[in-house]
Amino acid sequence: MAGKPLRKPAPFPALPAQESVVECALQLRKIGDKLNLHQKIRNLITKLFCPGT
Amino acid sequence: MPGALEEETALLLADYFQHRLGGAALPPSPTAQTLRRVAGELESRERPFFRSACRPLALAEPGEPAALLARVAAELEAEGGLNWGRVLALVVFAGSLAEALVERGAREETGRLAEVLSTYLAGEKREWLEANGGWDGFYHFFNKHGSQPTDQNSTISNAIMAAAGFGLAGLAFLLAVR
Repeated sequence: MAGKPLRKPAPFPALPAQESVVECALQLRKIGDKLNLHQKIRNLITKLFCPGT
Repeated sequence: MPGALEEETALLLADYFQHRLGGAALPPSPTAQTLRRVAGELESRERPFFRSACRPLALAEPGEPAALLARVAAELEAEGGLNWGRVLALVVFAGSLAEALVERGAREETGRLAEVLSTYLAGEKREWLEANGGWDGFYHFFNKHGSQPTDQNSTISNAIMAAAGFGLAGLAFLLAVR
């Protein structure tokens, strides 16, 4: 039986403007939050092991 | 007359955009240097996303990319507000969009991007920026106790060595009491 062609998710550029904006903001939020957390951990480690600097 | 925060924000963003678009001038302040450094690190780490996200937006009608940037900024902080990581991600996104616009031959659009971002950060988000120490807060967040990345790396190496030292001492203790 000929199966239904698989529907691939739409690539980023094909999204309409509003969806693009939402998707883009979501990714930026993830990237930003990850970076923020890493930097906080880095700062905490620095504070613990080099309190005088 | 713009206040000091607006001026500093505009100056920092202008320097970052110039740097992204191939300007060779030295950074005008330690904060600008920090912004260049941490933004560069983030951009090279997340390059596939920034490229794929900005290319289609750069193809929009004249004036549209700046409006899209404003919408992305508003959407970004709609959930959970702002933090320095999100601010940096937004700045890098704007820089990547500016780069994509220049590649498309629309350099004149890039000034509007910097303007929109500057108005957003120093205008709409002024309270947040002030509550977080302004751009000095940004500088200290990304340079805690060590102004150079090498300092931070050596701090992390020290931390790892200390943890390894504790582990070895514990192991020796266990062997001794057995």
